Amino acid sequence: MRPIEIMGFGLVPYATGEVVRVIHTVDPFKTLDATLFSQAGVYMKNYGHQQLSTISFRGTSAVHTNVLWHGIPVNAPTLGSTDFSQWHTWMIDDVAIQPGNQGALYGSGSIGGTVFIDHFNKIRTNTAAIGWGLGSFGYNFQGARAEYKKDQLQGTTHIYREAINNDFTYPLKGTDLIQTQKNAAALSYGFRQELQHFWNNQRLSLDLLLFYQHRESQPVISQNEGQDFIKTHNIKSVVEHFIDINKRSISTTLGWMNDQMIYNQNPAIRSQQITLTQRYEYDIGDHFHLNSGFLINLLTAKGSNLENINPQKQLDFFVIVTYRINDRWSSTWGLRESFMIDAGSKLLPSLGAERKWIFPKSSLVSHAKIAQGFRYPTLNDRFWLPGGNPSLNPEQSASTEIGFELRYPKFNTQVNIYQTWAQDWILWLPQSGNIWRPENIQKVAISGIDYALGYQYFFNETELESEVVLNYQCSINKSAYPSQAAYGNQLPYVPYFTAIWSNKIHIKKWTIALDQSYTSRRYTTLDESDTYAVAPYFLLDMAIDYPLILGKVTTQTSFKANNIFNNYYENIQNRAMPGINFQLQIITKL
Amino acid sequence: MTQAKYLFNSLPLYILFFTTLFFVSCTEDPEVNPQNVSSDDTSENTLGSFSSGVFVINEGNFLSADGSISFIDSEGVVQNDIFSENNASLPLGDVVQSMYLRDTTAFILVNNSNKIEVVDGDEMTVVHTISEVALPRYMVSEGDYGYISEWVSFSDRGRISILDLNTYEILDTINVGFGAEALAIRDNKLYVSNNFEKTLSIMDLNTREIIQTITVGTSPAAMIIDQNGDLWILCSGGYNADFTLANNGSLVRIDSNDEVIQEISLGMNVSGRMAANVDLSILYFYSGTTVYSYGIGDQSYDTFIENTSAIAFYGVGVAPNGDVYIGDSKGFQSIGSVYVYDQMGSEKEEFEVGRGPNGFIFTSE
Repeated sequence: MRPIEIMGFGLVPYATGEVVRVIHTVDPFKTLDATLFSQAGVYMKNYGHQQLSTISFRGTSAVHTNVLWHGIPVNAPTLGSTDFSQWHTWMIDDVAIQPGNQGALYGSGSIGGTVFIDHFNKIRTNTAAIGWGLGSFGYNFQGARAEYKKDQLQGTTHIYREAINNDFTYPLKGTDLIQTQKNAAALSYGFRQELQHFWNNQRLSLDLLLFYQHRESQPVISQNEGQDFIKTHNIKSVVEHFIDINKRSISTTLGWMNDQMIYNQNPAIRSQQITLTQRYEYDIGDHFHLNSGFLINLLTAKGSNLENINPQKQLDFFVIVTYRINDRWSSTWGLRESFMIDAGSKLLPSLGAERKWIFPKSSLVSHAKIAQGFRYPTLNDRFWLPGGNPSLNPEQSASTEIGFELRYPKFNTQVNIYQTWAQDWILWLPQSGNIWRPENIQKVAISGIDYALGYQYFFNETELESEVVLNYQCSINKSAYPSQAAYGNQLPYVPYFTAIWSNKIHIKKWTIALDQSYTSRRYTTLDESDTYAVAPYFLLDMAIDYPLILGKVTTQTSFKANNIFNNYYENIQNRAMPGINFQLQIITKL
Repeated sequence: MTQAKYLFNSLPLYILFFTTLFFVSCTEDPEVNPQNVSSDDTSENTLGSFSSGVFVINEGNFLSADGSISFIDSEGVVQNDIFSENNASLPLGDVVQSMYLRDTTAFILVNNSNKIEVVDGDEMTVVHTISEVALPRYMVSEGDYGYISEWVSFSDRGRISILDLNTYEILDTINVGFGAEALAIRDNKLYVSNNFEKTLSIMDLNTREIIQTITVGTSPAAMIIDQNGDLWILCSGGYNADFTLANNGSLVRIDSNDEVIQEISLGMNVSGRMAANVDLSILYFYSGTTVYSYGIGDQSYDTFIENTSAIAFYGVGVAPNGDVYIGDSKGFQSIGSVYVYDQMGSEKEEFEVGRGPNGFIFTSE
């Protein structure tokens, strides 16, 4: 039997000429939005604490982020985005992000960036863990998971329940009043089953995810009363067959997603997605590597305002060629042709290059990329009744970036500069007759810079890890809509500047983490009205971890204090976020 | 119809809340926010610095709690966000539906915040907050009592709450039809347009009982009592089964015997907001970025103005001097504008106000 280690693609299969950050989900008690919050170039929009949360990269919006689970796009077909608060890290193994335009590599939606969740080349062992958490505002978490491996079989099972009353207090702006947040409780359950069978040079894998969430809708601060709630049921399943024959491999993946959302007492909105994708990899000699394949997507939705939608059929072909001239130079050419019946087609080229310099005690890597991107209109954009516009064209973009990374054994620094030009972005516009209709109207020019600096310091039994991440971005409206005054202004909810400073100190078995973040002012209107801007905020979080080892049993205890300065802040205009709060987490591993 | 309304109004709003800001903005609910802008909105009173000019009600972006009140004085000087400025930056709330001025007291109805802020009209400071209301829409008063229309929810019947204007206590609530909207008082009777239906409820103010329900057009909204004492109801029009526009908006006239005596088909869907000139002889309403005028007694309506540079009209009012004020929501993508036209339809001025200007209350010394 061949080793399992080579039996599959990595989390990010095609990256050359761009930054890829694999984020190890070291904190299994976080939702994915909280995990990704501290990444450079990422802005999470939280509609309240433990509420709906979407991700945007580099000055774009949530619909311009492609989210891939086992390589399959999983953005909701109706909305075109993913609610990251529904993904709990207890349920997944790995996550990685790739900021920038990767349309040729990953298809529709990869304009701002791409998020990768899980893959099938994880090696399982025979372990089990039980997790328990307790915290402020009635937070409690229970979870269990087990990994197993025997002969040619391996798998993992995860289950969790998380609940929070979310009755935090906050100072009502401009008053001496202290409000208690109401109608913001959340309850979620999840189950995951992964199974893999290996034989000869092949692997057959299955992963099934079930999520249920019942969430009260946190009202805006001046309301603070509400009865709205939302229930979601998500089923995500994928089957993958992988075969590896003499420098060639073929991966065939079939995915089925079924999402249901119920708002208050309204009829459910259901969406379904069936995806078939195949990838073929081939090492051609010592210098060329070929990735090619296709993707077939069938999307449909049903609801009172989404009637009689025929399944939307999408077909993509892609070819990615990596040419490694030597150990120092490599480049990647990519080409994708995508067709969506009745929604147009797009040919997307990309070109990336990478150069390494190896020095005795350091290395320098530079990379550059130029690429086109696109996004198909969502099912809501095209078919929402009333107003949906079946004639919409795909949004288009072109991007370029260049970056450098300098590494020393205990020090590394990285800088990336990027620019994107986008057109035909879809906005819903008011029409006569009191309906709204989406149109391809907006042009946007984005430019920005990411900078990261990491440092490690050892002293006796003490280790210090520190990282600073800075991001400056301009996402400028180049349309004269809704007025000439809006031209040349920053898009709503794009902060000009974000900064994160993370520190970890390891003293013997203890680990102390201090994370600070700053998010600058965000406008909410296209005319950059100060009246409607959301104030900048600063957060300081702290965590202390200690592992207690008794024989084969390890109990990891973590205590966390978030927003230590008890600052009032808003991520979305007039939606309160909690002040100082605490969590105690215990994971026992067998 | 009720179900269709319900879905159109509530579901898309929340669903689209899950995505981008522009998508959120699109969920603003233009069709079911008709404003009862009648000549009663011209108040003669002593309102300090607000005694001569116009209050502009800015609805704000749905689920953003950024509704506000602006004031444009007689010199054309605009003061924006006067509620927050005079109340230590307190946000006014989510979806500021309307404002009712009684003497020197203003009642600001904040629909999605389920409250009414009672403010001192000359300083704009809060004197009381009424929170026993559910999706309040509009208010009128007679004697010591105020009458408030409330949607309650998208699946329950609307209601009228009776407010003691001395204590600000809700004394009673009376169920009416679905989507209780605009209000008018005539002959000691309260008229309520039920926007999610095709009906008008009539309540006896003495007995506080519904004494009659009249069938009118689709989506009845704003009401105005004309110079002859007839009640005019603007019906927005509805949708076909496939959600295409039914283009069946209408103006319905009800005489003093509470009988429908005239119905003018508009041949299009229109906004539910309407205003009249001072002598109550001309009605103004709009669709898209075109304002129409209708002279009482005429057989048809005329185009008053068309503004091709506007994005979406969202409110209309008529000043004591006959100038017509129009609010442009700018699609909720930016702050709103107010255009001022003279009686001949020539544009006189433009002001920048708050987000989503949906109505006007004129004051004069």
